[in-house]
Amino acid sequence: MTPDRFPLPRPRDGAVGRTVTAVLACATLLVVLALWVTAGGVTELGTDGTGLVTVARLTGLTASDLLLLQVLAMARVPWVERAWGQDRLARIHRLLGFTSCWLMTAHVVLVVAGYAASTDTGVLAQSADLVVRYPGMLLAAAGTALLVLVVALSVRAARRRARYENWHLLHLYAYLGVGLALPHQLWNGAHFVTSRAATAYWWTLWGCAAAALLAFRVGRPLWLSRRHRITVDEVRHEASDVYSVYLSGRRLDGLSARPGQFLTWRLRTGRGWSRAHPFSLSEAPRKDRLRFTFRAAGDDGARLAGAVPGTAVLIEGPFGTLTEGRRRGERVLLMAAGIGITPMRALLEGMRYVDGELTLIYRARSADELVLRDEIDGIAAERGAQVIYLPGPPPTGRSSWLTAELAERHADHEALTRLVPELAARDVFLCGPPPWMAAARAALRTAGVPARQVHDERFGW
Amino acid sequence: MRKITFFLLATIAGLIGLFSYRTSFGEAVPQSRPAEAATPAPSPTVIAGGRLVDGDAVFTEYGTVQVRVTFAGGRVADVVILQKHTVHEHSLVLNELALPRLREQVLDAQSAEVDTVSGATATSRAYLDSLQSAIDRAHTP
Repeated sequence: MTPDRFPLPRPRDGAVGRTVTAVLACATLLVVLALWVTAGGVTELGTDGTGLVTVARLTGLTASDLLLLQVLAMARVPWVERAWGQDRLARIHRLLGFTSCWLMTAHVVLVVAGYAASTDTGVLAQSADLVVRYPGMLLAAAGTALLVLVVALSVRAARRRARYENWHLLHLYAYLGVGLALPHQLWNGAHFVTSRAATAYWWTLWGCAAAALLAFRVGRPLWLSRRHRITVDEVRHEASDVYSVYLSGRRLDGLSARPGQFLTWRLRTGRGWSRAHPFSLSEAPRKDRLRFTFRAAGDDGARLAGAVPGTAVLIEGPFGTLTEGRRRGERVLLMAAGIGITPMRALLEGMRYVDGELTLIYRARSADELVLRDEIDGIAAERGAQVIYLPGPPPTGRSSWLTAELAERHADHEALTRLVPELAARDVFLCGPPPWMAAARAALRTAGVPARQVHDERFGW
Repeated sequence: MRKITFFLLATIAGLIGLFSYRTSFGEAVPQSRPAEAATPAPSPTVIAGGRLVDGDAVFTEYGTVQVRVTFAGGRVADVVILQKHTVHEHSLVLNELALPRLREQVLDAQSAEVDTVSGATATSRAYLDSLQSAIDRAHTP
């Protein structure tokens, strides 16, 4: 250790937050189970007709508990975001979404079957009676239809075919679905009608989800945008279709954005301003300046690239856990491919390291596409970082993180160990297209880098 | 933008439609009863020499149940319902099926010691309790 060594920050990888939130989530499921048991759930299992209804009640209760947890998972609650990271939350949300949809379907089928059996009515007549006569059931039916629609549109095959913005707008109907579907349980569920505790628990959970949503998805972004008054200073063309947007605003340090994080940006350019884009900060955030860099893919890219100085910007965030907080040791390897360079460029500038401790590997399809190269060279020279540029097309036929040329001569993991000294001791930060990241992760694993030292965020919709 | 406006308006219209339905604020549409089913207003069957005795009002979490018993010639000649449960829609449906069956069983057995009807346990118990109290009262002069 050299005498001027800085102390490494204690890893803040959110493990505590993850444990706490996971325990809380499981606790809600236990409460649901307890409510069901105390209302006679187990003892009624034996009776015909009523047995079906009892199981239906449990599936219904679990489904709505999961629905509310899903809303909370996506409510952008800051400490939940810090603990899990938005990418993992999105995957959890997806898993809970499909699970609750199946449970909801089971609930509907079992209730209709159980009621029909106990009253000697046909299934169709019973369904109609339920929807038309029972309190809150028309709402519940509409809510169920909306939720099923949203889930159907989220099946991968369907999702790929839709434009993201349209899909996202339709996805918002899930909130409506949840809101409409829940009241019926309070008005028809036997133990809600008779137990104050159950009713109070349910309204509390429902209220928390609604409040979190309003506070953190609507209130906080508006408040942040108002407090910091961010506007566009300049849009700079970097290369082919890559642009950097320079922003200024008030007291930007108050955002507590860290290198490696991203924000969701809405540029008030007129038509289309409501579309939000998540882009990484491409330099360490300053008191008076933020910058993001993006590839102008699709029709909306042109709108962003055409933003004039003075354009107001609404923000959400900062989000993301690909920051120095994940770091465990002194040596670091940053690996970027394509536009994935943006958070790595910010980390290169903002991380703590001394001469020779940090290496950046930068892949691009051609030398022209090595955007931000000049500034990267500048920072590297000043801070003593090592930068390895690997421009060139990817190999065809096999997935590799290398260029075709290198891939011909070297195995994926072997190239890594040759390029980067003391590889296994490093924290590795990854950002690039998902298939490239998968190849890089595989190479790192084979080269002996422990999985807990590999840090990335997997988005992609 | 025009598309969004359209969707927004359609959604609001849909919601107004949904919420203007009477069940959407927690109310149930009453069952349309078959003609022969029990009427809510007690209309005691007049039996010559019969004696009417009201049972206790039995309170449960679903509401109150109370019966009125007609005794004639030392026998339970008829049972009518003065008050019955008012909450939980599906239980009410089941009660409509259960109450006539209970009455029949009681008239057959000439006692309150008959089986409860499955699916309407709470109502059956309350009904039979109220009935028992009426029988007790009839035997204490």
